[in-house]
Amino acid sequence: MIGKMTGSDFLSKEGVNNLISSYTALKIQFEFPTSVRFPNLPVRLDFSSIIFPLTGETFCTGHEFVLAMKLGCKIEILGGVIIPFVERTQKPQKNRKKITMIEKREPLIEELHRKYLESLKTIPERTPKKSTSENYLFLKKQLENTGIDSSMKSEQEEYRTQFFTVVKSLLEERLKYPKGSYMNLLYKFIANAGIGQMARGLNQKKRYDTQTNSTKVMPSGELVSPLYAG
Amino acid sequence: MSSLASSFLTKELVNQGDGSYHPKTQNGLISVKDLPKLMTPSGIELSNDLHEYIDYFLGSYHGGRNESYLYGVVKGEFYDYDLPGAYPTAMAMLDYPD
Repeated sequence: MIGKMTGSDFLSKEGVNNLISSYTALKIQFEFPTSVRFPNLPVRLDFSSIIFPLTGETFCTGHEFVLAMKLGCKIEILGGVIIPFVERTQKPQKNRKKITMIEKREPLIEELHRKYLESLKTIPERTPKKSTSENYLFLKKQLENTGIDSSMKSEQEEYRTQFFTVVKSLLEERLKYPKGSYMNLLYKFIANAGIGQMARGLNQKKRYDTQTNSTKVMPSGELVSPLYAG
Repeated sequence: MSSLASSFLTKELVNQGDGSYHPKTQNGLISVKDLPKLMTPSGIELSNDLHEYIDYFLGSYHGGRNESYLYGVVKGEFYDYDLPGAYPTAMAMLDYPD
């Protein structure tokens, strides 16, 4: 738990790298300089409105805090929590299982894949704007730019988080198929759905239920976690 | 489609990882994923200090920001910025909590 202190004290105590490589949530009072055109700290007005004012009191994550400090914001921390990422040297990944792609396990995917292959025989394939290899190189460069490759090397072996491995596998599998095809879109959807599934049900939103013809509070799933969602 | 994505990611992240996806259960009864149970009188009492820090994480979840930086009639060219693969890229940078 974090006690009351100024934002600059907290930043110098923890450092930018620690704040980015951790799950940090803070309650703060803040004041941006008037020269800041687009402040980045969200404040709730009511149950459906969020504004980004120059001054206020709010909850924010470590990433939002670091960006606000870079914008010259004066911050007073009222309280908060830091949970660091797991110590990387303690988790050798030698025995980690390789991801098995879903079409080998899910009958629905097999069916979709079969239909997709059939459709190729009758409908002329849409020409992607970029070739698959160009797309792959572009997306691979994006992943490399995150700095994950360089920051996750231990002395013995290169470290890969389970999150990174899953995303990379989904990306590679997606790029085996032409842009706009069933399988390409399916893998894109699965990768994008991950973050949504981590936040599912957190805000107790209601959804229409076709079985009972009424609205129900959306239940949370196995992936839900306030840590990952934030 | 959502349940398909959910079941695939559950297998790969929760079941197939090293079991650290969800932090340890408090007193063998309450964990982070049991939010409805956690925010009850017995949940708060049985969860050690879990309920204290979960407030901060719930409060700091705001969803995405989508904004027009200019309003009104626009004549001529304008730009619509988008981050391709923003969600998966952010997810790839996560790690299990200690």
